[in-house]
Amino acid sequence: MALKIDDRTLERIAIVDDDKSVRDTYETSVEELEVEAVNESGPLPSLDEFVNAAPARADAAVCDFKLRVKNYANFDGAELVARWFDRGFPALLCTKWDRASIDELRKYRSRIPVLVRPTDLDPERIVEGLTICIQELAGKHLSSRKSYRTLVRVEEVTADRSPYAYVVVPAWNPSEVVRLLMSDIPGSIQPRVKTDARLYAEVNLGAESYEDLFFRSWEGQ
Amino acid sequence: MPGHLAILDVGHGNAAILRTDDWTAVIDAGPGSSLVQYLIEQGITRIDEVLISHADEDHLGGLVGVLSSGQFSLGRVRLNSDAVKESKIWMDLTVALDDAQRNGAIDFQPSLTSSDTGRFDHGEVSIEIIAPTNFLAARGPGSTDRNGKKITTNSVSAVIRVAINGQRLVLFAGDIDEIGLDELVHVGTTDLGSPILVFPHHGGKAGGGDPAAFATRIAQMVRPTSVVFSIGRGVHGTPTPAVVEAIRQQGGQIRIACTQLSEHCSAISPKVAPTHLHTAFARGRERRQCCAGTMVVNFESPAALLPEAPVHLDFIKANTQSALCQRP
Repeated sequence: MALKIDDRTLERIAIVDDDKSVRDTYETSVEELEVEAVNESGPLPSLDEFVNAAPARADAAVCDFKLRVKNYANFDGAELVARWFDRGFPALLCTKWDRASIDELRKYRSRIPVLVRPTDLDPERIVEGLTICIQELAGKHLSSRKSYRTLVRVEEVTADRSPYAYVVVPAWNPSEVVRLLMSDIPGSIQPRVKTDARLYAEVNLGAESYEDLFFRSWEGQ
Repeated sequence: MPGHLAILDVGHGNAAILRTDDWTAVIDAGPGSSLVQYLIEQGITRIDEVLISHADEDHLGGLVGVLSSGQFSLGRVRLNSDAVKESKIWMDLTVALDDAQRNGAIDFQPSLTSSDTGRFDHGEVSIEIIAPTNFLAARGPGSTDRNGKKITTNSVSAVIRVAINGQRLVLFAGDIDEIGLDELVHVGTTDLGSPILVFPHHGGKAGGGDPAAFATRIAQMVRPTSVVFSIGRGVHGTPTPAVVEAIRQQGGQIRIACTQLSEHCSAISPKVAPTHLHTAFARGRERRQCCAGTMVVNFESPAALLPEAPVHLDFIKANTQSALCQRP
């Protein structure tokens, strides 16, 4: 049996998580769709190698964000899913949505169509998520995923060991401050990231929530 | 689409687009990307007139997006000054408008009053600026009206009536409040008649007064056949049930349409994707948050507010338990 989504036929879905019990849970959900689950038991090879290896044995993937636990992998799920997106391979990224994780994955978010809480990963959510991925890979973006050049106002910059820029995107939500890792902003722009600076970037202004926002194509004024 | 009016579902906020073959006007620019997405979907790159009713972010936030997107050329932009509005987005917008004006990119003037009626007419479209009066705009938010009441940002909201080939079509009431209505009565403007009323303040409380009494008052001045509430599902609890009930008490068959599905009508979103919506962009479509969604009137059949009432009513009956507009 196989799952048909638009013009793709999914016969096998890879499951990537450092925790065997979690993989087994995901496997049950995948098999309820009458699709074969490819349980990636690890340790995984290098990122470059695995980016190509998994698509050779599966048609899509469900992948956890934190993969470095117990040397399961030497990379994170966000970068892996983004790299898969670049090569046209659909994958859902599972995360518990803690703020640190959201900070860390934001730089990849434009290439991660769907985030899913592990507890929400039932068969219905898998189909819904993979449909969004496959359609986005075909250039059909949800309105919440379309990005537009827009004004980004800097509220505050912190100079901690991991510096952050706190910014507001007025055309998205003028009342919500968004925290960005300074390292996610291109080096050529960083000197201009100062309190009250007004910069421009492409942002998905239709995003429903803070976690879904991504920024790219930064410009200094 | 041929010449048309679109009352856009932007979630909580207001935005409307008037379009003919060679001209586009935007009345209010609610927040988020909805206006930009609608304009792009419709292939619109030139906006000849932008009229902003007042300085609240749910009426202007989208203009920041339009200006900074770099995808549109703008003609005239009109709004009123507001000395008490300290929001940063108000500063963002005024800085951006001033910058564009200095660069010769737009014709920006901080003035939109009843003296401007007729200045934005184009072809079959007439645009009447009913409020604010010059007096109220000159006094401005933070000052007091003729009765000593404090003028707020809502008090000076522009009220704009659009007619097509001389036939009144729609009244955009912005966020006008009792003080704004008192001023209209004072200057003898009591006939706000229009078939469609885009209800002020999204059907929420407009100022500190009784919302039902306010709704009754404005309904009697406008005498609409359709009332549109431009709302965001789950945001601010709009429309207020007392407001909807006051409209229904006016007698006749007034159609009530909310752009999104109020949580007062249904606690859960529809299980299946809606089929009754107009094809134009609607903010709530993908998340199944629409009730009427974006509403459209084609100028060649101005009596039809799309989606038409029967299919909209079928949706309401199928997806709500106790819709405000249908309660016994």
